[in-house]
Amino acid sequence: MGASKVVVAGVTKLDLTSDTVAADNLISGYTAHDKAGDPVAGTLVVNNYYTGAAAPDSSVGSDGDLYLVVST
Amino acid sequence: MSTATIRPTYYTNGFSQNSFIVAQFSNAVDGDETTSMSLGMLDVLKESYDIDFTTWDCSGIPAGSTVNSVDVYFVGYTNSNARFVTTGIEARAGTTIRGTAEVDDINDSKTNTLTGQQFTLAELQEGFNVRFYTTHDSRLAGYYYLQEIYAVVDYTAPAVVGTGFYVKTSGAWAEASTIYKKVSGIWVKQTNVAAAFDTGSVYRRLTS
Repeated sequence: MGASKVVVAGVTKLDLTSDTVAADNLISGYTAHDKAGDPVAGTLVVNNYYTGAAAPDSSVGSDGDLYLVVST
Repeated sequence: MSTATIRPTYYTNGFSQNSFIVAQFSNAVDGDETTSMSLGMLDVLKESYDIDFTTWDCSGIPAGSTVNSVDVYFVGYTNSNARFVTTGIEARAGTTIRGTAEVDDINDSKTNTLTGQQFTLAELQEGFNVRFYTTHDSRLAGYYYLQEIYAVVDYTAPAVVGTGFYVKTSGAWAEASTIYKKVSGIWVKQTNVAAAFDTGSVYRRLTS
Protein backbone atom coordinates (compact mmCIF):
# COMPACT_ATOMS: atom_id res chain seq x y z
CA MET A 1 0.00 0.00 0.00
CA GLY A 2 1.39 3.39 -0.93
CA ALA A 3 1.78 6.48 1.20
CA SER A 4 -0.77 9.22 0.66
CA LYS A 5 0.44 11.81 3.11
CA VAL A 6 3.90 12.80 4.32
CA VAL A 7 4.33 14.99 7.43
CA VAL A 8 7.81 16.12 8.50
CA ALA A 9 8.27 17.79 11.89
CA GLY A 10 4.57 18.62 11.96
CA VAL A 11 4.61 20.12 8.50
CA THR A 12 2.67 18.43 5.70
CA LYS A 13 5.09 17.98 2.83
CA LEU A 14 2.87 15.82 0.61
CA ASP A 15 -0.86 15.14 0.73
CA LEU A 16 -2.67 13.09 -1.89
CA THR A 17 -5.74 12.34 0.18
CA SER A 18 -7.94 14.85 -1.62
CA ASP A 19 -6.76 13.98 -5.14
CA THR A 20 -9.32 12.64 -7.57
CA VAL A 21 -7.12 10.73 -9.97
CA ALA A 22 -8.57 7.33 -10.84
CA ALA A 23 -7.95 4.82 -13.58
CA ASP A 24 -11.11 5.73 -15.45
CA ASN A 25 -10.38 9.44 -15.63
CA LEU A 26 -6.71 9.13 -16.50
CA ILE A 27 -5.87 8.78 -20.17
CA SER A 28 -4.72 5.36 -21.22
CA GLY A 29 -0.93 5.18 -21.43
CA TYR A 30 -0.37 7.54 -18.50
CA THR A 31 0.24 6.71 -14.83
CA ALA A 32 -0.21 8.57 -11.52
CA HIS A 33 -1.03 7.88 -7.88
CA ASP A 34 -4.49 7.96 -6.42
CA LYS A 35 -5.58 9.47 -3.12
CA ALA A 36 -4.38 6.36 -1.30
CA GLY A 37 -0.94 6.73 -2.81
CA ASP A 38 -1.32 3.64 -4.93
CA PRO A 39 -0.13 3.64 -8.55
CA VAL A 40 -2.87 4.14 -11.10
CA ALA A 41 -2.68 3.23 -14.79
CA GLY A 42 -5.07 5.23 -16.91
CA THR A 43 -7.78 3.43 -18.86
CA LEU A 44 -9.58 6.40 -20.41
CA VAL A 45 -9.52 6.12 -24.19
CA VAL A 46 -9.32 9.24 -26.30
CA ASN A 47 -10.94 8.95 -29.70
CA ASN A 48 -11.00 11.65 -32.29
CA TYR A 49 -13.85 13.11 -34.23
CA TYR A 50 -13.72 14.98 -37.48
CA THR A 51 -16.22 17.11 -39.31
CA GLY A 52 -16.69 17.62 -43.02
CA ALA A 53 -19.25 18.42 -45.66
CA ALA A 54 -18.95 15.08 -47.44
CA ALA A 55 -18.23 11.44 -46.65
CA PRO A 56 -14.81 10.82 -45.07
CA ASP A 57 -11.74 9.77 -46.99
CA SER A 58 -10.42 6.35 -46.02
CA SER A 59 -7.05 7.81 -45.09
CA VAL A 60 -8.58 9.85 -42.27
CA GLY A 61 -8.80 8.60 -38.68
CA SER A 62 -8.28 5.39 -36.75
CA ASP A 63 -10.59 2.70 -35.46
CA GLY A 64 -13.12 4.10 -33.00
CA ASP A 65 -12.96 7.60 -34.43
CA LEU A 66 -16.11 9.39 -35.58
CA TYR A 67 -16.78 11.57 -38.59
CA LEU A 68 -19.70 13.99 -38.63
CA VAL A 69 -21.09 15.23 -41.92
CA VAL A 70 -22.20 18.79 -41.30
CA SER A 71 -23.46 21.33 -43.79
CA THR A 72 -21.94 24.69 -42.99
CA MET B 1 -44.60 19.03 -53.37
CA SER B 2 -42.63 18.09 -56.47
CA THR B 3 -43.36 16.69 -59.90
CA ALA B 4 -41.67 14.04 -61.99
CA THR B 5 -42.36 13.01 -65.55
CA ILE B 6 -42.41 9.27 -65.99
CA ARG B 7 -42.39 7.38 -69.27
CA PRO B 8 -43.16 3.80 -70.22
CA THR B 9 -40.35 1.36 -70.82
CA TYR B 10 -42.38 -1.53 -72.18
CA TYR B 11 -45.61 -2.14 -74.05
CA THR B 12 -47.78 -4.92 -75.34
CA ASN B 13 -50.27 -4.51 -78.14
CA GLY B 14 -53.62 -5.99 -78.87
CA PHE B 15 -53.50 -5.04 -82.51
CA SER B 16 -54.98 -7.41 -85.03
CA GLN B 17 -53.61 -8.72 -88.27
CA ASN B 18 -55.03 -5.60 -89.86
CA SER B 19 -52.63 -3.35 -88.05
CA PHE B 20 -48.92 -3.04 -87.48
CA ILE B 21 -46.33 -0.90 -85.74
CA VAL B 22 -43.89 0.77 -88.06
CA ALA B 23 -41.61 3.04 -86.10
CA GLN B 24 -39.78 2.35 -82.91
CA PHE B 25 -41.46 2.53 -79.52
CA SER B 26 -38.69 4.82 -78.27
CA ASN B 27 -39.92 7.53 -80.62
CA ALA B 28 -43.10 7.86 -78.56
CA VAL B 29 -41.31 8.20 -75.23
CA ASP B 30 -38.23 10.23 -76.08
CA GLY B 31 -39.74 13.56 -75.06
CA ASP B 32 -39.43 14.85 -78.60
CA GLU B 33 -42.72 15.47 -80.38
CA THR B 34 -41.03 15.58 -83.76
CA THR B 35 -40.66 11.83 -83.58
CA SER B 36 -43.50 9.35 -83.30
CA MET B 37 -44.46 5.74 -82.99
CA SER B 38 -46.30 4.98 -86.21
CA LEU B 39 -49.25 2.64 -85.94
CA GLY B 40 -50.39 1.42 -89.32
CA MET B 41 -53.98 0.30 -89.99
CA LEU B 42 -55.35 -1.49 -93.02
CA ASP B 43 -58.67 -0.54 -94.61
CA VAL B 44 -60.94 -2.29 -92.12
CA LEU B 45 -63.84 -0.08 -91.05
CA LYS B 46 -64.71 0.23 -87.34
CA GLU B 47 -61.98 -2.08 -86.15
CA SER B 48 -60.62 -1.13 -82.74
CA TYR B 49 -57.02 -1.28 -81.67
CA ASP B 50 -55.29 -0.92 -78.35
CA ILE B 51 -51.81 -0.85 -76.96
CA ASP B 52 -50.86 -1.21 -73.28
CA PHE B 53 -47.92 0.66 -71.80
CA THR B 54 -47.30 -1.64 -68.90
CA THR B 55 -43.98 -0.73 -67.30
CA TRP B 56 -42.96 2.78 -66.28
CA ASP B 57 -39.66 4.24 -65.19
CA CYS B 58 -40.33 5.74 -61.75
CA SER B 59 -36.68 6.10 -60.77
CA GLY B 60 -37.04 9.89 -60.58
CA ILE B 61 -39.41 9.64 -57.63
CA PRO B 62 -37.65 9.28 -54.24
CA ALA B 63 -38.41 6.13 -52.27
CA GLY B 64 -41.00 6.68 -49.58
CA SER B 65 -42.70 9.52 -51.43
CA THR B 66 -46.43 10.07 -51.21
CA VAL B 67 -48.04 10.37 -54.61
CA ASN B 68 -50.67 13.10 -54.62
CA SER B 69 -51.96 12.78 -58.16
CA VAL B 70 -51.06 11.55 -61.60
CA ASP B 71 -51.82 13.27 -64.91
CA VAL B 72 -51.48 11.19 -68.05
CA TYR B 73 -50.88 12.74 -71.46
CA PHE B 74 -50.80 11.54 -74.99
CA VAL B 75 -50.09 13.51 -78.12
CA GLY B 76 -50.90 12.17 -81.55
CA TYR B 77 -52.43 12.70 -84.94
CA THR B 78 -53.38 10.85 -88.09
CA ASN B 79 -52.44 11.38 -91.68
CA SER B 80 -54.97 12.72 -94.12
CA ASN B 81 -56.03 9.44 -95.67
CA ALA B 82 -57.42 7.53 -92.74
CA ARG B 83 -59.69 8.59 -89.89
CA PHE B 84 -59.72 7.35 -86.34
CA VAL B 85 -62.44 7.85 -83.76
CA THR B 86 -63.06 7.01 -80.11
CA THR B 87 -59.40 7.54 -79.38
CA GLY B 88 -58.36 7.72 -75.78
CA ILE B 89 -56.35 6.47 -72.84
CA GLU B 90 -57.20 4.53 -69.74
CA ALA B 91 -55.14 4.64 -66.56
CA ARG B 92 -55.20 1.28 -64.86
CA ALA B 93 -53.89 -0.34 -61.72
CA GLY B 94 -53.33 -3.82 -63.04
CA THR B 95 -56.58 -4.58 -64.84
CA THR B 96 -58.70 -2.11 -62.84
CA ILE B 97 -59.58 1.05 -64.76
CA ARG B 98 -59.07 4.15 -62.61
CA GLY B 99 -59.84 6.80 -65.23
CA THR B 100 -60.48 7.38 -68.90
CA ALA B 101 -59.93 10.33 -71.23
CA GLU B 102 -61.39 10.07 -74.68
CA VAL B 103 -61.79 12.19 -77.79
CA ASP B 104 -64.08 11.46 -80.72
CA ASP B 105 -61.92 12.89 -83.43
CA ILE B 106 -58.17 13.08 -83.27
CA ASN B 107 -57.40 13.69 -86.88
CA ASP B 108 -55.48 16.79 -85.96
CA SER B 109 -52.48 17.03 -83.70
CA LYS B 110 -53.57 17.59 -80.12
CA THR B 111 -52.69 16.76 -76.57
CA ASN B 112 -55.11 14.82 -74.45
CA THR B 113 -54.98 14.72 -70.73
CA LEU B 114 -56.26 12.45 -68.02
CA THR B 115 -55.86 14.43 -64.83
CA GLY B 116 -55.96 13.86 -61.10
CA GLN B 117 -55.60 10.11 -61.09
CA GLN B 118 -54.97 8.50 -57.72
CA PHE B 119 -52.21 5.93 -57.55
CA THR B 120 -49.73 4.98 -54.88
CA LEU B 121 -46.03 4.92 -55.62
CA ALA B 122 -46.08 1.13 -55.32
CA GLU B 123 -48.83 0.97 -57.93
CA LEU B 124 -46.87 3.20 -60.29
CA GLN B 125 -43.80 1.05 -59.86
CA GLU B 126 -45.70 -2.18 -60.37
CA GLY B 127 -49.00 -2.54 -62.16
CA PHE B 128 -49.43 0.95 -63.59
CA ASN B 129 -50.84 0.41 -67.05
CA VAL B 130 -51.89 3.07 -69.54
CA ARG B 131 -53.94 1.72 -72.38
CA PHE B 132 -54.09 3.72 -75.60
CA TYR B 133 -56.95 2.79 -77.89
CA THR B 134 -58.51 3.96 -81.12
CA THR B 135 -60.95 2.83 -83.79
CA HIS B 136 -60.39 2.93 -87.51
CA ASP B 137 -63.23 4.87 -89.13
CA SER B 138 -62.51 4.79 -92.84
CA ARG B 139 -61.96 2.39 -95.66
CA LEU B 140 -58.56 3.85 -96.30
CA ALA B 141 -55.40 2.36 -94.95
CA GLY B 142 -53.42 4.87 -92.94
CA TYR B 143 -51.39 5.67 -89.91
CA TYR B 144 -51.90 6.92 -86.44
CA TYR B 145 -48.82 8.75 -85.19
CA LEU B 146 -48.39 8.54 -81.43
CA GLN B 147 -45.92 11.30 -80.68
CA GLU B 148 -45.83 11.24 -76.91
CA ILE B 149 -47.23 9.29 -74.02
CA TYR B 150 -46.15 10.12 -70.51
CA ALA B 151 -47.41 10.86 -67.01
CA VAL B 152 -46.66 13.73 -64.67
CA VAL B 153 -46.60 12.63 -61.04
CA ASP B 154 -47.18 15.13 -58.26
CA TYR B 155 -45.56 13.77 -55.12
CA THR B 156 -44.38 14.72 -51.66
CA ALA B 157 -40.92 13.44 -50.85
CA PRO B 158 -40.31 12.01 -47.37
CA ALA B 159 -38.94 14.45 -44.84
CA VAL B 160 -35.20 14.38 -44.43
CA VAL B 161 -34.51 13.20 -40.90
CA GLY B 162 -31.28 14.36 -39.32
CA THR B 163 -29.26 12.59 -36.67
CA GLY B 164 -30.32 14.88 -33.83
CA PHE B 165 -26.65 15.28 -32.97
CA TYR B 166 -25.34 18.81 -33.05
CA VAL B 167 -21.81 20.10 -33.09
CA LYS B 168 -20.81 23.68 -32.46
CA THR B 169 -18.79 25.03 -35.33
CA SER B 170 -17.56 28.61 -35.56
CA GLY B 171 -19.91 29.56 -32.75
CA ALA B 172 -23.02 28.05 -34.28
CA TRP B 173 -24.69 24.72 -33.67
CA ALA B 174 -25.06 22.56 -36.77
CA GLU B 175 -26.79 19.20 -37.00
CA ALA B 176 -24.75 16.33 -38.34
CA SER B 177 -26.67 14.81 -41.24
CA THR B 178 -24.64 11.60 -41.12
CA ILE B 179 -22.29 10.04 -38.62
CA TYR B 180 -19.58 7.57 -39.61
CA LYS B 181 -17.50 5.40 -37.31
CA LYS B 182 -14.25 3.80 -38.32
CA VAL B 183 -14.34 0.06 -37.75
CA SER B 184 -11.49 -2.21 -38.84
CA GLY B 185 -10.12 0.56 -41.00
CA ILE B 186 -13.38 1.29 -42.81
CA TRP B 187 -15.78 4.18 -42.24
CA VAL B 188 -19.20 2.73 -41.44
CA LYS B 189 -22.37 4.83 -41.57
CA GLN B 190 -24.11 4.81 -38.18
CA THR B 191 -27.87 4.48 -37.81
CA ASN B 192 -27.90 4.61 -34.00
CA VAL B 193 -26.23 7.82 -32.94
CA ALA B 194 -26.05 6.94 -29.24
CA ALA B 195 -24.42 3.60 -29.96
CA ALA B 196 -21.79 5.24 -32.15
CA PHE B 197 -20.05 6.63 -29.08
CA ASP B 198 -17.89 4.26 -27.05
CA THR B 199 -18.39 4.23 -23.30
CA GLY B 200 -15.19 4.84 -21.39
CA SER B 201 -13.95 7.14 -24.12
CA VAL B 202 -13.67 10.84 -24.56
CA TYR B 203 -13.66 12.56 -27.92
CA ARG B 204 -11.55 15.39 -29.12
CA ARG B 205 -11.94 17.23 -32.36
CA LEU B 206 -9.25 17.03 -34.99
CA THR B 207 -9.15 18.46 -38.47
CA SER B 208 -8.86 15.93 -41.23
